[in-house]
Amino acid sequence: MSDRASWGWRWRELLLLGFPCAMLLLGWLSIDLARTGAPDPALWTRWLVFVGLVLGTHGWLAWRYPSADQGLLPIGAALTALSLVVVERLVPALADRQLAWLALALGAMVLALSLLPSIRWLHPWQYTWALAGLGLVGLTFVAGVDPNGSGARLWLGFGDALFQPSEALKLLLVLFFASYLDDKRELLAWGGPRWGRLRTPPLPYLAPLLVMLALCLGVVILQRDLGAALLYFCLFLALLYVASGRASYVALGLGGLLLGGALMERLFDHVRVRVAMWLDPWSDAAGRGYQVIQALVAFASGGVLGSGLTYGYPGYIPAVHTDFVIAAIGEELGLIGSLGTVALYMLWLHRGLAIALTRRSSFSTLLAVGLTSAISLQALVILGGTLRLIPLTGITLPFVSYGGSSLLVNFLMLGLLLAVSAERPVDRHG
Amino acid sequence: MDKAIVRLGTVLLAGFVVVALALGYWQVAAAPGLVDGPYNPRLLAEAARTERGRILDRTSKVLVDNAPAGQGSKRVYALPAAVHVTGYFSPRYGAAGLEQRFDDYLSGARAPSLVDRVRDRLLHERRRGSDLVLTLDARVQAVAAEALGERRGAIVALDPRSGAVLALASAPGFDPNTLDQDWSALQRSEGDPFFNRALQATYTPGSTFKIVTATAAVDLGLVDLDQPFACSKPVAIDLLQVDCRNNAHVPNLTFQQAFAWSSNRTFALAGLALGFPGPMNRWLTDEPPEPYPWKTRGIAASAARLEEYAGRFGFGRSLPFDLPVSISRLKTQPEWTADLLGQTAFGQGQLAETPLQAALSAAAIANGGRLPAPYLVAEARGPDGTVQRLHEPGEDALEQVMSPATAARLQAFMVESVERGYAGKAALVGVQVAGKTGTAEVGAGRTPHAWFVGYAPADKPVVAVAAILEHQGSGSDFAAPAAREVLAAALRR
Repeated sequence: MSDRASWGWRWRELLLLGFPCAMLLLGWLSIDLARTGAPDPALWTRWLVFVGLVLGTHGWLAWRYPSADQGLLPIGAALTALSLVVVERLVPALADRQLAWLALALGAMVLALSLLPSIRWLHPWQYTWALAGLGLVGLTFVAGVDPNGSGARLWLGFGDALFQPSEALKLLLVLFFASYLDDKRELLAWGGPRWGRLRTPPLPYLAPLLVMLALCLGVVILQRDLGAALLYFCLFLALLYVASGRASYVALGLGGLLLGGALMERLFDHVRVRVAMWLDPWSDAAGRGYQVIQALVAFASGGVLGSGLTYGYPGYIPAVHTDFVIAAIGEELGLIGSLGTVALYMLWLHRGLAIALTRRSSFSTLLAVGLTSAISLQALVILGGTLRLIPLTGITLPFVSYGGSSLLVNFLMLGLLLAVSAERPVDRHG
Repeated sequence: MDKAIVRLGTVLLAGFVVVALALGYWQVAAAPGLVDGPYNPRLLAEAARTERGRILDRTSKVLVDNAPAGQGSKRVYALPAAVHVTGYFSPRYGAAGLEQRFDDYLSGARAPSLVDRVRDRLLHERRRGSDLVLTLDARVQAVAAEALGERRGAIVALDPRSGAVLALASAPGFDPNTLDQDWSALQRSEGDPFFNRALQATYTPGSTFKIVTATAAVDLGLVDLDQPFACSKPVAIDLLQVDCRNNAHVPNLTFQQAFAWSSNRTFALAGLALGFPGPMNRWLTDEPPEPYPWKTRGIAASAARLEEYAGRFGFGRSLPFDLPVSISRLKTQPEWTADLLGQTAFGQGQLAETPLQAALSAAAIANGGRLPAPYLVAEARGPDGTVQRLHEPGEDALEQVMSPATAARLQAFMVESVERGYAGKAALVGVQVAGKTGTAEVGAGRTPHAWFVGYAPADKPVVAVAAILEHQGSGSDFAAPAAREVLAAALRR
């Protein structure tokens, strides 16, 4: 979006930010009114904190990135407002914490954008990104904690706060894939050896990438973080396709995914349970299929209009405020609310790819594609799992699920996408 | 690269569209099955959040109320003696009785007006159910339960003019207030306290069924009521011996006396003679002209007439009522035989009758021959005060069972039975009572069931009653006194 010259101020963004602010106020008000009949005195302060954070970020962008895309921050803010409403509804004790995480996330985004010399600066550090991510996830093997007893030690504890390295790895992998594929783009497009009608990638050039990918997948699979593994792999395929333009690579990759999935189903009990409960959760409705079924019943109870905030029973779904947050939205805000949430991700997809399609350096393009698809794919993995379209693999719903590290990383990604959009368009092909 | 980006975008967009369609499927298309399915804990939770309507008796005395308990509320049953009417409502064990059958009203699911339903949906005020106002009289109910005491049995009292049920007691009962603690003990306990004997049990009626046979004989004009006949010797019907033991002290009697003294031989022969031209007195005597007509011309016509009259009283069909009622029946085997017809005519055979049916039979006599439609729930009072009448008293009498003249005749029989016959212990001071006892044989070596059906005052009936006490002995000695208490209580209203 290059409307900087004509407007001078980011009016469109400011106007759009009105929606998340109003949404949060309405949501919190109706929760308080339903609970006690009167708004909590602290409600206004908390709301003003949110408004201040969002408008502060907006002001800073107007000063430092006046030409950046004006749709992204409102989308992120709207999803976060939804998150704050749902967390207040489901686990009121955590709402202020989530608000604090939002402050941290927006602060980190502003800080990162202030320090970032240019998008191009990110490019040479490709292996640093990958190894850093790997190192972080590797740390969970020695120092990981499992705060909610899910059986997976996916978090690192810092005093009172928890950090989920697999979230950070998502961003670091985008950086790594984008910079590596940008270097090898020409070679990949030319392709490797031909086997009949199928052309395989030039493996020697892909080897470092595949090794990194295998390491990351191996680590998260060992950690039983199947959702993250699925996300990384799909992200890799998306970027490989955009960099090479070759659908055959994607076909190969998806074949590999199915093969790998089938193999894991044979090898690991927890994968077998996931697949069985995807195919027929009713075979163990009170046990392993309980979560899936309760989520579906919650969706069904919501109907079109929803029960209204606090009038549903999302508490029957285990992990409802993290992985299954969309079921709570579907129950209390109805089909209108759940479709609205999906629409926000569609808008994100639209804005992100629009940025990618503006002619800039190929690295910026790949980075924009990676950042956009990472969020979109993550949303699809958990929404599809919750709705029984694919086997359920636990992962947060970006911006909406309760979780600090998730929010932090997602806003960093949003910031990077803003930075890409603020780059002056160039004519790539001379 | 641009082409690839657009394609990737298309694929991801398609993904979101599929997600949106899946949301529509689960939230709308597949929703009813899931919501009403067995895996939805919301229904009970929603019920706990509703303020259920109360249940009141005819004088607006509260029978079932709510009391705060923990986060929600629990049901308080002020009159455990009425447990078989009110039923129970337990989050753990479900609901029974009116609590179950009228759950739509009590839970507010059937809100009286559309405006209420819309307001419910938008404002989410704590949903309030409608109060049910019964025809039951708490005092009469308490007396009926007390009259049964520890004995197994049932008592039904109703207003014969309208069909309004005043008392419906079944013993043994239980205390619905402590159901959750007592559940497993009640499940194991003897006598099945959950069983509503007043509506669900079918008993051999014994001599109370003579009302039906007598009605048929009188209504068809087959009997000369003034001409006495002799009854002193047993008669053989096929292999069955029927004697005159009950009326041994009155060997020469009129049909009315035969009713009051419950002569089995008279009624067995009367039943068999229903299909032939009267007067039947000639076949009721000790020395009838040989042979009996059914010996040569069969019993089909007589059986058909008995079936017709029993059917008019309510046998063989399901009675419309606010709680489920078992069907009373004449026989189980497909074909009639002469001895079965004879036994049936005096109240044995394969007869099976609910106490409610027995009370209705008396009510039909009291009501000038019209069988009233029984009902229990008079109206529903919405939380906003709107009143919905669920029954109009006497609006839908079920049947004209007999002519008013026959009803008057039967009333005289039943008064005689109380004033001079076996039902004497049902008599009240200053009020003429009409009644009939029964002593139902239930197998060799077992104490018979004691029955009484009747009504009062005979000239202007306001209450009809049926009482049965299982395995207690004669109707005269056990059922009549119990029924008397209930009649007296109902007359004091």
